[in-house]
Amino acid sequence: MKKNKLLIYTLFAAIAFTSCKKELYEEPFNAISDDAAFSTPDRIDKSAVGMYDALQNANYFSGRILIYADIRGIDANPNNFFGQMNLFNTLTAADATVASAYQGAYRTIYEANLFVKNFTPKASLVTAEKANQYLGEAKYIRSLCYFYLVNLWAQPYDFTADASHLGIPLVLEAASDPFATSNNIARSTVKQVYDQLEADLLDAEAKLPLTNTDAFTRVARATKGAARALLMRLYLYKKDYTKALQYANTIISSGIYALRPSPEVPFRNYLTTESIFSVAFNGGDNPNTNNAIGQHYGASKRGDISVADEYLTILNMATDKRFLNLIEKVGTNYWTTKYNAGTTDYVPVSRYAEVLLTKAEALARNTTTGVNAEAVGIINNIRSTSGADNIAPATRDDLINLILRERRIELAFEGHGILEFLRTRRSIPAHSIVPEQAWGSNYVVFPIPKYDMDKNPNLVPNPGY
Amino acid sequence: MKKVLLNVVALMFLSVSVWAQKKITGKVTDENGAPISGASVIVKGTSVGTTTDANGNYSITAPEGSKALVISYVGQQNKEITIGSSVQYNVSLLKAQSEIDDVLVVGYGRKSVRENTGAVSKIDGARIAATPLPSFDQALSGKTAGVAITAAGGLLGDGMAIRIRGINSISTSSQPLVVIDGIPQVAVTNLNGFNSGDGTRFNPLALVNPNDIESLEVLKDAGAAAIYGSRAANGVILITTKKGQKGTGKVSLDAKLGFGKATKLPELLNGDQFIALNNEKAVNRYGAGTSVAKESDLNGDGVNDRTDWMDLLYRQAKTQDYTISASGGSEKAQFYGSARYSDQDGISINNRLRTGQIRLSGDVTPNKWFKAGFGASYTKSLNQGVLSNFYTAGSTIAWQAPPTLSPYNPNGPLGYSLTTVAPIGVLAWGNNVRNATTGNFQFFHPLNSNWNVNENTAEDLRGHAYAEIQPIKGLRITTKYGVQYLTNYEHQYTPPFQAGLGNPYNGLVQDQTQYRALWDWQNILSYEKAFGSHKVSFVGGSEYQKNNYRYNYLGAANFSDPFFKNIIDNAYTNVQPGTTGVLNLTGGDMTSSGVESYFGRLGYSFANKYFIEGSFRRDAFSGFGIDSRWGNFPSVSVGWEITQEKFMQGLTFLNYAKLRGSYGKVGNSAGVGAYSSRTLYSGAAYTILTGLGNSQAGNSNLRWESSDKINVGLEANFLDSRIGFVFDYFENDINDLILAAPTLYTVGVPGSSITTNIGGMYNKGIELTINATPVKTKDFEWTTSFNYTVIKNKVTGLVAANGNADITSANSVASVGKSLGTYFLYEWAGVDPATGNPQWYAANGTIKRYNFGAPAATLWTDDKGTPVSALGAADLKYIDKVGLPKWYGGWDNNFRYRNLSLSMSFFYQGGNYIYNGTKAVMLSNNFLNNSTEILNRWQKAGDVTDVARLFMLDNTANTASTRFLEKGDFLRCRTMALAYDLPRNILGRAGLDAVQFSVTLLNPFTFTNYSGADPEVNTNRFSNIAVGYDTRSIPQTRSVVVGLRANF
Repeated sequence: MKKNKLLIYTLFAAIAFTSCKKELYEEPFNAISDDAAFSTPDRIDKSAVGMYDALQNANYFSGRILIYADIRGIDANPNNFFGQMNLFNTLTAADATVASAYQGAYRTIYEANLFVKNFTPKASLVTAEKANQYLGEAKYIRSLCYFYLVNLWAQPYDFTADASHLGIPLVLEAASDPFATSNNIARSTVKQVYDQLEADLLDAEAKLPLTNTDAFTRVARATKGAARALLMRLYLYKKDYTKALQYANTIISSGIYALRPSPEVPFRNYLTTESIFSVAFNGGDNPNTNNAIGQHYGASKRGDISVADEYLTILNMATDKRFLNLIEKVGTNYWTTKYNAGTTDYVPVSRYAEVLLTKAEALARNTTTGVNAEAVGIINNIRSTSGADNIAPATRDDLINLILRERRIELAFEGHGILEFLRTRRSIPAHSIVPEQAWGSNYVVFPIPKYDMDKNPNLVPNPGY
Repeated sequence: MKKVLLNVVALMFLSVSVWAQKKITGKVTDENGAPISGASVIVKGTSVGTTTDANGNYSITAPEGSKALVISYVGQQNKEITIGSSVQYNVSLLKAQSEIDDVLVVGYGRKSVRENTGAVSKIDGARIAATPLPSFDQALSGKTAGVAITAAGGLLGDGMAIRIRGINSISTSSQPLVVIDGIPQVAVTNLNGFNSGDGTRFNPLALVNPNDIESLEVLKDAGAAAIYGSRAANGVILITTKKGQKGTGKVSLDAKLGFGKATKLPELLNGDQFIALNNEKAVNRYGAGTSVAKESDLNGDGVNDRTDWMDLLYRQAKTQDYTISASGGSEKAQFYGSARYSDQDGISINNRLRTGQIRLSGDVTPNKWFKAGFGASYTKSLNQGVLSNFYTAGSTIAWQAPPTLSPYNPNGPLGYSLTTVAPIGVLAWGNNVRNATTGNFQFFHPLNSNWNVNENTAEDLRGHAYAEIQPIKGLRITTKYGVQYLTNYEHQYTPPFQAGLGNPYNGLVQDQTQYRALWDWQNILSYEKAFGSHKVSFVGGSEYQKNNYRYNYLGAANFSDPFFKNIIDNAYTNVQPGTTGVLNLTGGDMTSSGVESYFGRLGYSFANKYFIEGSFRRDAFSGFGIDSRWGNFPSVSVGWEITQEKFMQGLTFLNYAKLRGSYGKVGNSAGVGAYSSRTLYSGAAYTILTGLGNSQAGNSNLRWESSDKINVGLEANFLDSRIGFVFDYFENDINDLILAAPTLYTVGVPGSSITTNIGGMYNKGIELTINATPVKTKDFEWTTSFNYTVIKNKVTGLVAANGNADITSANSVASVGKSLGTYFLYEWAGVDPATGNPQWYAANGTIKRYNFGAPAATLWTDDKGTPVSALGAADLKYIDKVGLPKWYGGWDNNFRYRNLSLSMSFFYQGGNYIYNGTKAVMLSNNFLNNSTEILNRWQKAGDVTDVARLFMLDNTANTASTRFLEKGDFLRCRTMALAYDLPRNILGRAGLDAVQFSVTLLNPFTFTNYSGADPEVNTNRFSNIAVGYDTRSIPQTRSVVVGLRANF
């Protein structure tokens, strides 16, 4: 009797046991393995899209990195929401906002590097054309991240004669062991970084499609135009005006792009031929309330960043559409309306006006004496489509200054702010509550975050931090 | 001494051979006459013994010279029977009164204190229920040695950091395993998801009715906890709920009504001071004559506005709590049922927690060899939360609201003074200057909780059932199955007239439901047998546990009309006003994990004198790599009841003394994600394009964190057990710490961390508990209990590949060779009396002075005016101070005079430093209100003060530094209660069993030098590193509670 009871119990237990054990070890419902993600052409295509998802990093190309360049310039009023960076002299290596941006940049770079690493052995699964596109996209995205890293975390290219001053660590491969000492990468010199960017962008240019047929992927995914526009900017920053001009001309002659009919157009319709590359956002993947570019700039949104008086004095508030159509006054403050969609604004990276402005600058600078008429014509074309009066500079220097002013007016709040001062060897004038920052002084570049300084013995800090 | 011993021996010798061998039989029953099976019957002074059978009968052959029988059973008092001429002795045992015969609930079983060889503290449920706090875990403060409870603040239903013998993890959870009636609970400390779970918060342990708790045991060392293996590193809390008793029928009513207020609120500037000080900030920066703070009349009453925001934000909070329970039982069936309703107001306006719950349990013994039972409870709770610290809309950020602005404006939305042009929906600023020079002054309306909704509806359904068979005497086979369904529905609404989430979306509703389900199946075999003085016990079994988690999020924006405050079909468009793109306000996640376990415990004791026990558990967790999923967790513990030794018999003042020790290995998997070991690609959409992206860098070698725990304890009772003490020394050596190990940012992996086993840490300490009854007369009794714990912690290793770089959290670090949570701050050098400028010590000990308003070149100088580099990361210093208390404890006193009793319960902690972040922000140079401390600011050359010259918008002087570090020592009277029991003669007439009226004061007084609102604080809640921060936490509540308890 007792034995039977025991037997029944044991049998019941055995059955229940085997069925429940299976349930204990379930495969994830919310993710797949890295192998699976590269197992079919379709999944590889999705993983390539994943690089753009990474590019939307909340602390980097959500628009934050453009904002950081601008609030350290003089056209946006300082705001303590972004920590100490816009006050310069109280910024430290422990600053969390700077650290998050640095982290976000390398997180994006990792996604691109990891794609290349996972994709390379599986490249045969897709067509050569697709393979080229993916690898080109990876290099473009990586270069875009490095471009802001090297220019915000290191002194400008001509800070030393041969650009031998320290740049940033170049990570060109996804680490297989994140804790290996081989990850303790030292800072490359600015020259090395620029050389790498040049090589990568040339390779991307070669591999990427000239353009895409549908408007969305023409703007929101990398193309030859995107790679060329960034190369052009790289040469401009290097003061290689011949090459900058060459790339401006290549873009212009491609016939794909055209100057916006009015300055607000690319900010109301993100997919016009004015836009060469933008990081796209929509209501499905907005980088949340605290990181979207429109939230920070929108007067009726978070409203963190208002337009400084310095900006209002360089344009004609009565006629210039860049004031009339892109600036609003709310209360006592002025606000840009370039980003008025709250959480769904595209983040502009390269657009046609920049190509024209760069061409004008290259022409003007390459003209050793006198005023380059073609450059004047380009500027006046931009100005006339903006409702501004023509310029008539008397000297070469006047022209260059007017071109730089036009860049400030046209490209305001698009991530050029402090970089324009640094590349042209100008000090950042005292503005609002910020004292003057001399060109070449310590605090015009960001600190290498303490977090990495603590861990990587090969890192050298930026002076003063 | 020697002489006494010799005499004893001599006497025993003499007694030999007076009696012949003799067989004795009898029956052992409990107080109620129910037979006790398994009771031990030993012939005193010999190794002859037996145990009673299922009917309580025994039969023993007493050798010659036997004088007495000793009958003992867990939970009953030992009884000694003098052997006379009779051959039959029926014995009725009384329920244990003395601590050593008390029953302890241990892992998968029960034991007497006498038999116990591990470090276990038992807390009576009544002591917990007597502390009128929203959740039972907070009531544990000071109640037992080794357990520290840290509240984030006084927010209703907020989670408590429970730390048993220190913090035993660096980046995973250090919360203990909580087991209720044998079923491990869902390990979650906060049911909220919005605002990263950091806005309004809700702790699921607040869903347990304290009145249902019979007892609570804390398993602290490996000896006690290792049977819980991989989840025991942080200790285990076993909660046993009340059950019906045989032969009784009881109804009990418990009612509490309370009124509370904040223990302390910061002192703020009044309106005139606000205007004067803010204008001084502006004048110092922008020159004489600057005036930014102006009088306003927002409410239109014709006089300048003056508002005491504290008065409007905090209130007298009402609480009511009623439990009715019924229990009873016959020989064969017992039941317990209870129902509770409680309604508690927080001291912050609109903070309210309402809970209804029922519980039912029953046990049936239809025949001798079979027993079955169940327990079930259902709780539903509505927590009307308020956003706490950290949030601009939060109830404590409002401390900085200008006292010169009225909250009301008859023409404003709902009659409040809210702006209606951009920035829309913030507190109207009246005539105050608002531009870049004043930081574009704007302020969330402090009373926004009047219209913003943050609600949590939590439901908790728990149930378990068991069946037990006893095929042969001493052998029990039990199977037990338990489930827990814990869901929380979170509802947030922000109306269009509110800034932030409201206006930009033209009204926004966000709803989130989290579902957590757990099942747990245990099969346990236990066997117990005594052979003479030898007793062996065995417990072995298996346990399978499955956890499922799912959450769904959905939102709605842009409503037809502010009338709609919920997701109602067609009442919204989800298109952000002014745009055309549809917002995707949906989301979700789903995970599952399982634990497979096998365990065993083997115990042996000899003559109730020597005890040894070994336990072993083998666990597998699905979240770990396939090759490293299994972990083995052994322990061994020994006990020696010294007072059983003959040579101790003469020490009459010593009633009981036991030495015990344990060693074992336990693990920690709390807080380890369901798929931590894997490299994962998740959905990664880029606007209209769907994609896949890397979401986690895996580590297939991830395995159990293991703690080596050593414990040596001594327990003793003196003077007729009037004084008892328990002393423990413990060491907890943690290796293979599961760490979200930080990688270089440049490596670029998601989150810059990989969950891995790296580093080490130890906690060492001493615990002491003294229980005493100093006075005991017929009418008057004083009982007291004191406990003290001291802990030393040191981090011994971190990520070697990173050169053991510190892990920083806020202003604290985990740093090798230092205590976890050591502060890492700039060293404050005071305010320069000549200029009023703030100064710090640089790394090299020289002074760095920040010169307000100076040009960039001379902004930073030394004390002689020579330019120096800015205060930077290189100047940060390790401050040999930590946020976690180094010592803590409690002291309970109970005085009873006839039917009147007064109890006072204290708890204390110290050795810690609080980073007073509140002080730093309340000294802000922004155009905001300040604490009255700012009145001490430097004004003229020669002023010696710690508050620098005011300078609008420049908060450099308030940079985190040692200036804001304060000693956190305190002694708090947690409860002071006066209770009156109706005399028996009155009760008898009314047919009542007991009636008690009580008045309890919660937190009546506190001794501390801490200058902030309340030293019982840690804004960072469960952080293991950044412990001890006060960043505008809502203060604790001081209340008076009137109670009535009646038993029928």
